[in-house]
Amino acid sequence: MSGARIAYCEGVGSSPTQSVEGGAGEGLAWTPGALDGSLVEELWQECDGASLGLERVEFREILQQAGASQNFGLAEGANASRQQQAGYLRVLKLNELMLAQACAAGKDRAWEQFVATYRQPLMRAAIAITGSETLGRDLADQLYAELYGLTEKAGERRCPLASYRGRGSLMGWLRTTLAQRHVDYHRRSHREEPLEEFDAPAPEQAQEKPAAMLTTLEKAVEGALSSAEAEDRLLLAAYFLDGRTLHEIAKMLQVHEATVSRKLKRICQDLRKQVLKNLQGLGLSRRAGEEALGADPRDLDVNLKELLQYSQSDAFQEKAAS
Amino acid sequence: MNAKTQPDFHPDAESLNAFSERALAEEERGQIAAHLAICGRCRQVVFLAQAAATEEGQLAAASTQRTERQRGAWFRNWWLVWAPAAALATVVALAFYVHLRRAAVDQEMAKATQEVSPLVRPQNEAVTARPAETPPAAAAVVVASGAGMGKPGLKKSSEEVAAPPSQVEPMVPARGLVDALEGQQAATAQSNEAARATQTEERASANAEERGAREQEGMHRTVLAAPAPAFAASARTMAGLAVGASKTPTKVFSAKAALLPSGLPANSMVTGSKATVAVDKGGAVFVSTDAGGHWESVTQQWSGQAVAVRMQAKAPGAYELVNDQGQVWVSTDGRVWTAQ
Repeated sequence: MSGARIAYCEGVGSSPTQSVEGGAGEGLAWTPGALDGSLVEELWQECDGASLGLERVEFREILQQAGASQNFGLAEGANASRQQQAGYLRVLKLNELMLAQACAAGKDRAWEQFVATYRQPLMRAAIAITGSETLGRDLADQLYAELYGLTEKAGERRCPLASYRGRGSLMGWLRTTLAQRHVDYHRRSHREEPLEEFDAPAPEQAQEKPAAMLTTLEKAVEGALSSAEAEDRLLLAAYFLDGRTLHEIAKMLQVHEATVSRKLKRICQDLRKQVLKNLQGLGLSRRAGEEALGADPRDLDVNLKELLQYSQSDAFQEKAAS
Repeated sequence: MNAKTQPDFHPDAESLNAFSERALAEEERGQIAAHLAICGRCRQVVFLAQAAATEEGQLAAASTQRTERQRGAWFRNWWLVWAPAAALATVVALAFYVHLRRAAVDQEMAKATQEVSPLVRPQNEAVTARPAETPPAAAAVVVASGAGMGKPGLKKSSEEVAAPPSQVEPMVPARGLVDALEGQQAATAQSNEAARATQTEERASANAEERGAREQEGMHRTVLAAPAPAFAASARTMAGLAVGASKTPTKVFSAKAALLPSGLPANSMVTGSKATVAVDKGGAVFVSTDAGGHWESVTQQWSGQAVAVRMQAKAPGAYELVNDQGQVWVSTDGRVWTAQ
């Protein structure tokens, strides 16, 4: 067991060597943050972790880590009751979580099951992501080796499966990890490509300074976009910047295409209203504001990409697994 | 590092996947959506993973369909076999039905034979002992007794075919039924009719020679009845008619010659100049204009059950039908009958 896990277990108040039976059977008082023993026993029976080569202690530790990583879905610092723990843990895909963690722990039986279940789907997903059988097989083999723990960091075997917490499906996690590897590889390899030679056009004569109205319009657009909701901005970025189809966006958000279409229409209408409102707030009359909205967009010096990326979330402290 | 354009801190695969699968709480989902809105890299990751999932789902669906198709192929093709199988079953059922009908008829005839044979078999031994010498459809042969019969001749033999009823009646029923049973291997009624005249002539000629020889030897002569006239006499007897009542050139068929369209053997049959009329054992009347090649059912125009048919003595060419009560109906063509 890694030192980090021991430290984590100590931090949440449970000893990794504490038996499942000991949690409830010995009548120990339940401590906040610690898993309820009877709950662990129930889940142990349901998951049949023994078939993967896990022991109850390991099983309990995995549950503890999975729950603590999100504090059982509660706000930071809150203590989860047994019901809250059960509610959170039962939503997780526990069987897949146990399989992934058992693989990460190097259990042979778990690996046999993993290979039998996910080897071929992993290969197919890699081929689908890369669009090439050769590249796909390479990508899948590379990830497979990584999952098997061939890479080491500071002398310790690293297995990305250990980061799986069971909130989504394991296959989905594998696909996303493959996609991450592929996108990162693609970006790195593009950076290494030499720039094509091209004759830079002679700088045009200094353009006329944008009219005051255009400047005002830029500010109004910036204000409207920055005040938009996160999911609305995601829709706009996916549709207008990435050029994704309604079908693709609908698949990502797991809604109907018509819903995405209606939402986009509504967002654009709201944005227009907001821009008009901002223009009026900047001193333009309604008529002048509408005239400003009729300006040729090419005259606007608005970096939509930059605007959409205005609000950087600081919620993610983890770097990509790569 | 420019946080606006290069967000280096990305949600891990777990969070992105959970976002795609809508497995996140609202708050965290909002955070991921906010990141996705500004991070082209993560959007690309999510879309790629989603596309792979879709493609994999399609492949799995296609594979499942293919498997189902392969699994269901042998079963689906069964419907092609239904048509020939149904046809075969129909043929088998039909053959079985015909077999049952024939078996029933044979059984009925065998039963009738068993009932009669103890009584008549001994008397017929003289006749049945020579089946090859006495064709079933042969005409009656009368060996005249006494030396004063004169020379044998065809005319004489023909007249003798209509033998006195007193001489042949005792032998008639048994011989007729035995003949009917043996008739399974005999010629058809149609061929019998054609052959009968020739055979009668030949038999008469042979008998004439035989008579000549016997006259020379001074042997005692007896009367023998050949099968066909015997059966005709049987039919007439059963119908309550006097044998030899008709002196018209009537040709009477053996009942065993053929089964009538009703599936029953003929009880009585007579051939006139226009048609052949037959009555089966069930009382149904049939008429044939091609000497028994094709039979036509006659609608019942008489009361009771028809038991016999004969040629009318006083009006040659007319047929008489007798029912089980002895009443008589007359017809000129065998189809339209009027009470006499």
